[in-house]
Amino acid sequence: MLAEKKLYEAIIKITEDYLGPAGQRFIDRQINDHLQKEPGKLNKQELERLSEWARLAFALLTNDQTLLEEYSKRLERLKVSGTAE
Amino acid sequence: MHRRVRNRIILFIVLVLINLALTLSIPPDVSVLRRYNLEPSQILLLKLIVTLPLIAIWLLALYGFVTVYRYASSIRKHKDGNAFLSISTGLGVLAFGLPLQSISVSFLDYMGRTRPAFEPASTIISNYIALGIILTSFYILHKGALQLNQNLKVKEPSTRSLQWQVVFGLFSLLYVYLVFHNPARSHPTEQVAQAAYYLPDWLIFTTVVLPYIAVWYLGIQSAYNIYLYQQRVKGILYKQALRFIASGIVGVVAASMLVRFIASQTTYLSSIGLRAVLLLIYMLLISVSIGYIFIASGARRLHKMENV
Repeated sequence: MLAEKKLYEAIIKITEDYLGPAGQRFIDRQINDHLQKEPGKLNKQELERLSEWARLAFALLTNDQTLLEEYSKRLERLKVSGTAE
Repeated sequence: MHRRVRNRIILFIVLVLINLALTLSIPPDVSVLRRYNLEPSQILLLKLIVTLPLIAIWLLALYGFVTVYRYASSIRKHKDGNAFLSISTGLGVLAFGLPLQSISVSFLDYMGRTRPAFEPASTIISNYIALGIILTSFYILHKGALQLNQNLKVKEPSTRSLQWQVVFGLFSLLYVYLVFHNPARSHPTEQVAQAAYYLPDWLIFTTVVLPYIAVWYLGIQSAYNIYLYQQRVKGILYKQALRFIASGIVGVVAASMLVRFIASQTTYLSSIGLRAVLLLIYMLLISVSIGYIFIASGARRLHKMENV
């Protein structure tokens, strides 16, 4: 439970670096709409699916490929390390 | 489309149509015909040349307001939602105020021309309507902008605050100087057939000048607070979108201030040619429209972040 919460918070933290106050709402929407789960009850296996959806949705918000790749890499690193750097 | 948004759009279009009907139906001012050596048919063409782009600007203002309102409504349950609702309401009052003010000016101006005894009252009422609209708008805008920064809980450095207050103080002094050096402020003169205020100096100072200084303080503070919020908030893409909104609000606030500056200079306006007056009007209209386009652009980007 604690690990899931930390993972969720880490994803929010990364996303807020790009979307600011809209970051948490963005991630909650991906979790609700695509994973049909409650935000905060995410496990590491579901993180991969969330990362894909977040990447896809993020790509709709910007044409900046560098920014998109940076966001994607940070989510990838999260899968390995379990924390936002 | 959301019902409230649709109703507001319908109301706005009704106001625009009323304004168009008044503009086309009210007989032209004979003194204007004589001053610029125009035929009545030319005045009608002139009215359309000014009114149609004016309506385009109003519709852009409506678009700016509706776009921000849609965004604010989508995040109303969150702490930044209330702030953006206030900002959108402030922009809405300003947008709706444009055709409303035009309707009141057209009607009151006509009443003043056809009933000369009513001319001072019509000028006074027009001035206070304009003041009421902009004061309400900027007060609400200021409330929203302040709330945005309070959400961040960051204190503004005192040196930066002092700098802009000095600039604002100088600007206010200039405005006071221009108002009270207008010989046609309380009574018509040989050059100017209609006074700017028809009020004694003490009433001009207390009920026009001071409120307008307060209005500009609120307007500049709003623009500055939104700029500060944009600087301090996290989020690369969020900040990019906010930059558009902040720039747009600066443009709209600045244009509104310029309008009042120019309106206080009736003597100068009467001495320059028709072409120069039209050019001035169009420059202000273009700056207002650019402001609202920026606001709408920023709000669209923010709204997209709440929908993907």
